[in-house]
Amino acid sequence: MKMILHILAKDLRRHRWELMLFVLACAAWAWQTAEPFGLLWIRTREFAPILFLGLWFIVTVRVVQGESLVGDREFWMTRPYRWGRLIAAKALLLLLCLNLPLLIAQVILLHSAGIGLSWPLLPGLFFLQAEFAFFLTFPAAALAAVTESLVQWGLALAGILVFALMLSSLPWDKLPPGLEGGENICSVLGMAIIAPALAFVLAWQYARRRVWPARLVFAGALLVIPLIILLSSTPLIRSIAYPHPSAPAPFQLAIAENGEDPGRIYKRSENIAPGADISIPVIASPADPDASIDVDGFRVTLTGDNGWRWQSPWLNRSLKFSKDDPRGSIFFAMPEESANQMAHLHARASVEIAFGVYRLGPPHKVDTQADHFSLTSDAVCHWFHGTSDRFSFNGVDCAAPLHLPEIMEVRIDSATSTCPESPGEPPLPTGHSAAAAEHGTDLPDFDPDPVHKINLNFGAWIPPIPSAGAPDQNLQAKLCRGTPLTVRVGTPEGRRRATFDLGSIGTEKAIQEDPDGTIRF
Amino acid sequence: MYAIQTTALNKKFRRIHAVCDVNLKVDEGSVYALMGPNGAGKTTLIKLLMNLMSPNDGQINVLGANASTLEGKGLEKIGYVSENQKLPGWMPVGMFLAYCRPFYPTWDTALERRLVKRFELPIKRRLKHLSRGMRMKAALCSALAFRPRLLVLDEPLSGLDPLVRDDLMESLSELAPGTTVLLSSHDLAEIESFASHIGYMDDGRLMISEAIASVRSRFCSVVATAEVPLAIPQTPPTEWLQFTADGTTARWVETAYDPERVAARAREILGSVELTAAPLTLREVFLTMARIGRPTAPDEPQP
Repeated sequence: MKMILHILAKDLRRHRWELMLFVLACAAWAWQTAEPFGLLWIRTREFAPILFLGLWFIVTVRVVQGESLVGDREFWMTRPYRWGRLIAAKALLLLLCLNLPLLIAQVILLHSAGIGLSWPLLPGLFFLQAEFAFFLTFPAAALAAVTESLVQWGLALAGILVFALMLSSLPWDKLPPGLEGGENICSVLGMAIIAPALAFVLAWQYARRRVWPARLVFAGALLVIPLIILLSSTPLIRSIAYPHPSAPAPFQLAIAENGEDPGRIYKRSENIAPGADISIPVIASPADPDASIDVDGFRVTLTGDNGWRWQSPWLNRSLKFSKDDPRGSIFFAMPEESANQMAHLHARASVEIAFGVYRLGPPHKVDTQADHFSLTSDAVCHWFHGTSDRFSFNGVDCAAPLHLPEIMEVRIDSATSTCPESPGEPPLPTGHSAAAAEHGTDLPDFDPDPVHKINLNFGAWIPPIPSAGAPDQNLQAKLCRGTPLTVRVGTPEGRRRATFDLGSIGTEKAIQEDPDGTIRF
Repeated sequence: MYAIQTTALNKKFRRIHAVCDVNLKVDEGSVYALMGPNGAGKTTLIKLLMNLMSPNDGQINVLGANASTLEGKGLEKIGYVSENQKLPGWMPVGMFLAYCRPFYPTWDTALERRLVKRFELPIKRRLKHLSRGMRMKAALCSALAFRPRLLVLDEPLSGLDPLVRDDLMESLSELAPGTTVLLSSHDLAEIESFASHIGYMDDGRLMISEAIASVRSRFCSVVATAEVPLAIPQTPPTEWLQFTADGTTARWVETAYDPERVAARAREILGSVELTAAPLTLREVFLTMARIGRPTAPDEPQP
């Protein structure tokens, strides 16, 4: 330990200016984030995060290359350094001088958002530091270990960015898109390969200093990335991420019949791209009223007379179904020729859906009368009111520390709304509700800002309330001070796949063709 | 017991064979001067010994340990100073020495103070602001103050003025008895009086490696004269270097000089001749070796 501290003290003195600059950049970023509308930052707001991130990398590289691991002329290589102690001293310095200022800035940001530091928050804050060390410091240090100078490091990084650009220019759209569950598996798999490879590069360089083998391992780790992207779109990964259990699906799906306007749309789009866009409105019936379905993607199969069959590729589309919001739309594109055939072949549709199931917990009521109120155990809200020389504004700001809940549903009822009536509108009828849902993660998000805004956008009332002033529009639900909220927080219950037979999609009953080529059926 | 021993050591840089089949043995307690022209492979050999490079082939033992494992604790007894070494230029001299101190359990602070005084090192000045000679002195001070068992000096004197050279050479007298010194140089004059053993490298090969006294005694310039024209051999013996003959006179450099044996051999090959032998200086020996460019060693089978 004594030797670690000895090297650490030397590095602190060696890099004191860079470190001081980083702390200043960190403070500037925190100030800007806490005061996003401060006049000082209106024109410079992009620079603080860039400066912060840039200095993070520069400090990492300078600290690692303080005892350069490349070349054979370095003073330290012929001195009795123990590589384990050297690497420990470097890691300690980076944790102390990069993560600690960030941690302090995050605590200040939480405090400024009305979230006090508490014991339950500490593991999450430390986990966030580990994420930053893992995703920023670790790769930058590994690259610094195989380069000789900051300039060489920058050139290598530029090379990696060119590689990434070349990768992104490949025709990835020819592949079936990866769904979220598959991408998550592949991300974990990628991490499981890349992280040990980078750890090996670092350890190998410190212990043995064999630059070219280490560089090859580093390059090999980069090459894993396109392979992982390829893998995420394979049927194998899809079937692992979304198993097809024999148990019945936790919801049923049917075509939503909607009176005179069926809403099923077949729109030719030759002008944009050859083909036709199809939209089929669906309604879900969850077997469990507490279940919320989060669709990650689907594949549509159409069959018709004379054995006609057409199947879409897997499509990466997000849909959410719950007891209170069961409607959605299956939207896909198909070749013009197949679409024309479908219109006359009594087509039937089935859809294979890859989805996640969330279980919502018991509802709890939240009183919104006070200036500050809590949505959940750690998510807080406060009413704000501001004025400028031209206008005044007010509203509610809600935020959660470190990450949003995995699923949170916030509901208001028309019967208990405290909003004043809009000019020309009658009082709200009872029996209508509106919900705002947020989907988050189970672990802290990789974001330096630990304050995550909760968007309480309720949309239209359900069932819809037509506006008295504009009958073709429905009233939007709003939250006003004093309106009670019903909050439910949920947890995931896993991902799976299910196939639903939607029956005839009724294209033969095409009832209307608009001048723009849209057929509603 | 050898402080350094290499066996069939090879190092290639693409097509360049920088170190070629080198078998080096440095006795413990000796002062071994590794000589050779620029580009002979001396620095590469030293870097291999110090585990700054890995060989393509061959074995290296330094203080009884395999050089490929030479790091950490193994370096506590080895001092290394090189003209090419990158010192931490941002450090003042005093901080540099204070920084090195805890790495060595045997660091002698009194010796450090003596060396600082002798070298007149400016403690508060940064290394990057020192002259080259002063930087070498600071490096040497940090390499001597822990009383190393082995001191490796790679061209420590090149380009330094005579006063600084003398300072540096005198400082080596601070070494404990039994300390082994390996010193590379391309200038013989600066180390001739100091070294006990000498090695000569050229083109990656170690051409001579033995005690200086032995080199001096076995290399002679021989002149053979006869009253009748000499019987000039088509192929002179291998131990006769730079053989030339002109009518009644022949000249060569004898690499294994023994008066009786050389006389007998000369008469056997050239006929009845009178021999005159003059010892070569080390400089002449190395010039001869450089010109012919082939190895010779005392344990080479002599004809």
